[in-house]
Amino acid sequence: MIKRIIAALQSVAGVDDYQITVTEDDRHELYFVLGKRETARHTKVISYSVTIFKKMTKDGKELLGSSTFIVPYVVSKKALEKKIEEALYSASFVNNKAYTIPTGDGKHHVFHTPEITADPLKTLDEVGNAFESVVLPKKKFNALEIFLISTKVHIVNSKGVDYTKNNAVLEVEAIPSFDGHNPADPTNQKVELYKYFRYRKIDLALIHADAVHALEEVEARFNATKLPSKGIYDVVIKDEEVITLCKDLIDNLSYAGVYNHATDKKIGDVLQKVTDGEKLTIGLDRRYAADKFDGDGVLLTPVTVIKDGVVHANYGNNRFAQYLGVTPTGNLGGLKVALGKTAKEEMFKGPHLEIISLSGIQIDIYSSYIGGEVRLAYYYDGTKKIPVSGFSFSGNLFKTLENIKISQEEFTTPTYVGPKFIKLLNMDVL
Amino acid sequence: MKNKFSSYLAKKEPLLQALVERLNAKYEYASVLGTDVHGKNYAANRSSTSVGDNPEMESGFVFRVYHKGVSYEYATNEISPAKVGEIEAAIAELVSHPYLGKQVKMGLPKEEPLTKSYERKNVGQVYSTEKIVGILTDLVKKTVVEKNVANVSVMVSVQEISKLFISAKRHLKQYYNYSASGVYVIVREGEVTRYAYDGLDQNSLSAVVKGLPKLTKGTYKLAIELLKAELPKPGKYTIITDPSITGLIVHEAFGHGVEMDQFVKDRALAPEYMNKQVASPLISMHDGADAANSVASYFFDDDGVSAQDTLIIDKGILKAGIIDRTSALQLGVKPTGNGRRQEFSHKTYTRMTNTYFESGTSKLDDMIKSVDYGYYIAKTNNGMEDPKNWGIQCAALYGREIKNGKFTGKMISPVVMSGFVLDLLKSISMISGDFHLSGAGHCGKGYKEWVRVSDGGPSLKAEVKIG
Repeated sequence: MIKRIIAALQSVAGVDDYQITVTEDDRHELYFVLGKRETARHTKVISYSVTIFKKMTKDGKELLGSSTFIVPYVVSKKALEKKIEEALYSASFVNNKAYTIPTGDGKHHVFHTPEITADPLKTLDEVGNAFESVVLPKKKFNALEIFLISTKVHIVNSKGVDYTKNNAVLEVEAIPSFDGHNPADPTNQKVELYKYFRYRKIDLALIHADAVHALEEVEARFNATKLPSKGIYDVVIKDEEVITLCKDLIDNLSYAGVYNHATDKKIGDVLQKVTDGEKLTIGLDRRYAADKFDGDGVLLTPVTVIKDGVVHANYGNNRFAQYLGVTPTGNLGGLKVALGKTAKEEMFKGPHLEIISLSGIQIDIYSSYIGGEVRLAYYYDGTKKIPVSGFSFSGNLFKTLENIKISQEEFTTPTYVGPKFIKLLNMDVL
Repeated sequence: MKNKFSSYLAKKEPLLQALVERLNAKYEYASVLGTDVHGKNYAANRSSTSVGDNPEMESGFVFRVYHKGVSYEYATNEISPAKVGEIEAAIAELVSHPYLGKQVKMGLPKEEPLTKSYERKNVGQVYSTEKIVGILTDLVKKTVVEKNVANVSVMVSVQEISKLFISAKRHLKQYYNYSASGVYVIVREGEVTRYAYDGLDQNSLSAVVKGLPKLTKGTYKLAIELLKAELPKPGKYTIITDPSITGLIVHEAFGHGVEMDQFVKDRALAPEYMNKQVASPLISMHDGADAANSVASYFFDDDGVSAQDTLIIDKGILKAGIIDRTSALQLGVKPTGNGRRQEFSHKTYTRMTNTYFESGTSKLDDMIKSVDYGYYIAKTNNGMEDPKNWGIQCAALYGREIKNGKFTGKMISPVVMSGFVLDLLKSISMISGDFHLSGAGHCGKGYKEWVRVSDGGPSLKAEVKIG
């Protein structure tokens, strides 16, 4: 198919450059309802995306127009040529400042990730069994969705880029539930939490441990009481919320963010005016060993975006890097955050709230807001720890960052490596 | 814009019909859904213009088999006479695998025989790429020179959806389209940066393009106002909602809670409240692809079930939920036409479509006058459901302070509202007579499975926690 697309691109006059991206997805999925298998699925989808580039000069300015079209199924030569002509027409109205597309050596480079299983259906079953083997009559998974996803991406362009990478991942959406039905008390008899696990290898012992822990947490939600009082609390966030916070802090620091004025922060600007806390160092990295190039065919270069609370570098794609006159890092999907100095004992010393589950952390970088509705937390009053729920917390984000504590303890996912906990002081709790 | 049913799906129809017949001979029930979605995205900001295929474009087929109480699906976008054997083998592998553990035992669909084609074409003129790009770039040029503007992004998108459903008893075809436009403005004054956004959506490309200049002007004005906005002081407040926040509340507070695939999984509190009061008697709530003409209005769902209008809450009493086919088979009830897939290769879940509260009789001015202290909350941002425990979180872009029945000119941003669903719904004390439905956003199931939905209604007066 790639050869057919290239032949068609070469037969239509006016195409100065092109990029073809082939994505192959092979997914096996198993769905459980109340511990019983409900649905088994297999999907196999291959898609072709073609971007054509057209050089133009208008009012003495060098421009590059581009347009992308998708070839989702086998089409005739004539239909393909029509698609290319339509894309050329569209590109003629795209008056972007000129840039060049990435160059390669013309050789096909394959970056390989080993498959995580040779027998997907058997593996799905084993993973399902690992979750179901730990349930008890009152503590179980009311819903379980297990996905084995294998993806292959092949990028070819007219400047010699020819790269292939593949990836495999196991993902599990689990709903741990606790049924404490008591006819005498019609409220709050059944509770649940939402969990999403991602694994790069099949480690049934780890999966088993995650399942056990999820059930322990939902039992805690059942036992949760109202927070003794509203007021000002130190709040410890963990795992996914730490990831969201760090991601949001660097989101606008991309080349595109800088070029499009989405941020006014420059390299060297202090983002975190630390008074009595620890400084954040946040970088971007490859997500996995074979993750060597991005969607434009740029070979990825890991980058530290914030170093010790100061903007250290920008990052991003080929086009906006050229506009800013710098070398592109490529679009990196992995987040790497430096571990902190705070030991676990110190992190959890003194009265605090440890957030276990939120309805979704809310962060607004521009308004300097951080907060969220808490579904489960542990409240430590200095002597004992109790599960609590039914409240929300909020605060001024950048003021809070002046005195955060960052954990020594590490948390990893297929797209993150960094601290497990961050402690935010003096949050408003309502 | 082709403005007609996909010729690709039409060409594949005989092959699909034959394959479904073969599968029906082997399994207890078989069907296929063919999807062909095309569209264009047009966008411009101060440094870029783009024109290209809509990223939501998709084309492919999902074969479903119900056999011995379980559902099996195989999805592919490669179909030809040569691929038929591969498809049959893939389904056979799924069905015959020696699975561990227990399985559900669902019945078989009881389908009413129906052969029908449906069509809803674009209303009004179809603009050329040149015209749309010209309007977008002119708007950016005019807005970017306004005071304090850091950047402005404007976009138009068009989607044409063709779907084909074939089972032993049903042979359905539908074509419909919708267009959307949006604007996002960033402003900066000194070290203060703020943003505002807005969108339009209709079954008319010319209407959403024509509406953009007014939308952009209003969005810029709002962004400038927000430069003075402060963070809210946490507390419980009386609020008046704009229709987009009403939509967010109806969607998050109750819509997700009556998705009956959650009933099957014992993930919802709603079954315990059926035919009981769950909201103020002023509240009546609907959902359905046939309940309004908006972005989630189709003729049949991804299970081949005809669209309908479901009355969920009638004058404060919970009357019904919404449900997809597979979940309906497990509960032994009729599906409601709410089975939707993110794309052909994804599973069907029970999903909302067009969800809204009916309008009331109050005047918005009177509602504002009735507030001693509170906020007018506007511009939906995001929300999260909790169908089992009925907690809610709804985030809005801003709130305007109201004191003694009048706006003070002070604003807060962002506004994160939370609380217990019943407390919020029962606190509704006034409902305006106006009505607006917005379909600019997507809805997820948990944190995945994104589909286009619309929601809205009138303005509400309620009590919520902001913090």
